[in-house]
Amino acid sequence: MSNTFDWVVVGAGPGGLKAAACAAQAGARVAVIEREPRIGGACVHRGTIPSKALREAARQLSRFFAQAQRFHMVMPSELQFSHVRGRLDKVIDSHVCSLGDELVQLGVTRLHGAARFVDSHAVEVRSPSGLVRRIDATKFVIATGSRPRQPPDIAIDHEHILDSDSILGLEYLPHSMVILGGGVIACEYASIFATLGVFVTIVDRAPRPLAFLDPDLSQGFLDAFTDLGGRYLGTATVKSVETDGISNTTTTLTSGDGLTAEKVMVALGRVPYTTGLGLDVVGVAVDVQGRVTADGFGRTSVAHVYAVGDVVGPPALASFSMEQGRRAVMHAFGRIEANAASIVPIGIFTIPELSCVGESETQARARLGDVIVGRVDFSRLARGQITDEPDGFLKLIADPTGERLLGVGIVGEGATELVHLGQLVLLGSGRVRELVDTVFNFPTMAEAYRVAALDVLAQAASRSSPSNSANAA
Amino acid sequence: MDPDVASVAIPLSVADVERASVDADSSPARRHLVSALRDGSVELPVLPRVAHEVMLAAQDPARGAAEVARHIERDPALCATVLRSANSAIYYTGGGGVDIMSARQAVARLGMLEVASLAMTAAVRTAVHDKEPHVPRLTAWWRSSLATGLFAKEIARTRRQAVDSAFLCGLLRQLGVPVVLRILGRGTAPADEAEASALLEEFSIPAGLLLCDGWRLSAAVRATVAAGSDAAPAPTFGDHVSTAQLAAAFAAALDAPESVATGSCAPQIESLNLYPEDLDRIVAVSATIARTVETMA
Repeated sequence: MSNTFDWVVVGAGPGGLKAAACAAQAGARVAVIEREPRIGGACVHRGTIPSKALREAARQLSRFFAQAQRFHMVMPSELQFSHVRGRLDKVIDSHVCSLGDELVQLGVTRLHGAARFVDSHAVEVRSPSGLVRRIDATKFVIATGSRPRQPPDIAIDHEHILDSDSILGLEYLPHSMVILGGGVIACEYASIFATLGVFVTIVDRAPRPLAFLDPDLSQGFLDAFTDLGGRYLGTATVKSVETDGISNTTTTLTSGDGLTAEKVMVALGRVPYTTGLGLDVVGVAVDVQGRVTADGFGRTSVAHVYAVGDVVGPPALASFSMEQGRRAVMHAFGRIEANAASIVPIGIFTIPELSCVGESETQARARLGDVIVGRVDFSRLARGQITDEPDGFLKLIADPTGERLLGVGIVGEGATELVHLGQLVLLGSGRVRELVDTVFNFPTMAEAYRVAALDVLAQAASRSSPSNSANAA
Repeated sequence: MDPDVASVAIPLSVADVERASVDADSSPARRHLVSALRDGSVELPVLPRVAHEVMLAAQDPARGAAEVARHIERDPALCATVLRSANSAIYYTGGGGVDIMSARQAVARLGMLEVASLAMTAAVRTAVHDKEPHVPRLTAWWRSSLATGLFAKEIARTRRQAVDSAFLCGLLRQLGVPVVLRILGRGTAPADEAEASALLEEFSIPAGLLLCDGWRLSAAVRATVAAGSDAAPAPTFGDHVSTAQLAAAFAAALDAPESVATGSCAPQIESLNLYPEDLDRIVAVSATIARTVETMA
């Protein structure tokens, strides 16, 4: 096997694999080095895929229980978490297999071990058994991802106090859980466990969960979470977290309040994984938080070294990382593309799902002032009633004339799929009217776009009508 | 409370015991062992020190039931007995029932006092008396099992995997050993140490599996018991099996834990994807584990 490649990608998560695939498709000799025995990264093994598979299982169980109640069937009062997790391994195996097949088809070489730069154009790959191999390359992509942040004042023992990795190893569902953090990972797991009947309390400094979203979107999550029996303690700071070593934890807030729960999950962000990479050897700069410094094309402080994905920081989305991987390689091949980052959608797999693309309402108002927001509640749609999932809404954010679409926000089941229609309009004509003129299947949730677009156009017409102009004068 | 917590009729279901050959040439000890396993009336012996500690803790409100639970977690026999009792019909909850898979879960579900009471009953009924012939072997098994459970926990922690079930798999990995020793101690004694060792070698795993099946211990524990020391990849629960096997190697090398990394555990280390720095982390807690075992012994 050759020890010299055109490209070496360190890390086989979404960003790294996409970069490797793009470089191989362009005819380059590519090697991917992965510390874990299987490719896919945290996304596949400890993050995106497992949590979504769990979410699906939780939703199915929840529906099943609701149906059982309707037919007066008695269901178990508790569930083994391992049973809920049942399909997880199969889902992961299938995905890893598919990723591996793709690499084989593209002729990408896979190396298992921990990589470390030993000079500007070479890394050393050390296997778990201690075997060391030197690999030379012309260009490098650092895509080593991230790991859960461990706050120095909270002793995560992975037994009673868990993080977003070890939470997947739970054997049984606790009766109660405190989740520290109000971000995406915290809220996704909070809604999964609440759906499974666990009494979940989210504790965070922010006054509302998912504070980076428009308030009505995060309120959509909060309403559903509260309906499931969960509670959110905002503007709260944790003073200490302790466990009795057997079955209880106590989270003490600086207010003096104490929360007792069987388990605590710490989801206070993620930190880049650069340990042992030898970035200093090659001269790649990192910021104060340890993130590799990179521009919109993934260029680091060293010309032939790119960095993509979580290792360069937020938004830490698999889709975003893939796009970063693609853009980095395209840049290296001289194809400099405009930054499409603003139209990469955000999908949050809470129950119900949240999704948005383009500008948020808050951002648009800050930039343009009196923007028009067209909105439709799913309860108004035939499909929403048919599927018995009438909760949720879709909103379109348009410029003050109502002509141009600026962004889309959705709360409700299927939001992460539905958002793509809006994304395509944003990437294409950007005209709100296109959503009115397009014929969608009926009855479908896509109809929400047409109804919301009509709302935008009605508001725009109202603004431009003579009577309104007279009133304004 | 289950009135018959310690003496359990185990259904004869494991082929190894079924197939065990007994003929006129078999030694009396072998005939006795096979017969007892086939009859299915066996007990898990609890060591005197542990039984004593559990009873003291359970009777002293100041020490609390949490301490009882800690003792339960540190004694394989007590732990298995509590799990079996917690899974018995009397504690069956709801329509479908839910298997209790760890001592902590039993404590959380049944309450500290109830579990303490179960443990105390088991301890009283099965306590090993110093005059029994296999106490030294049982003591060695107990120390080894506890150390294996604690190392398994650290390996799982290092890998950010399920700590609870790793601990249990390590702790109960050789569950069949005390069963065999108990039977041998109560019947015709083996001719010599060599015969005792041979019988242990042959019957420990099937006896452990009988307990796993009869007591509804978790599938991960069963897979770990079934694998024994076989380094071939386990068909199911490979991570649990490798973790328990590597933990057992660390437990056997408490005086020189560094030797494990260079020893015969390469298949397990590779299977668990443990790098030298991971092993260093586990080695670093060896002294603490040794002290814990010493304190509890």
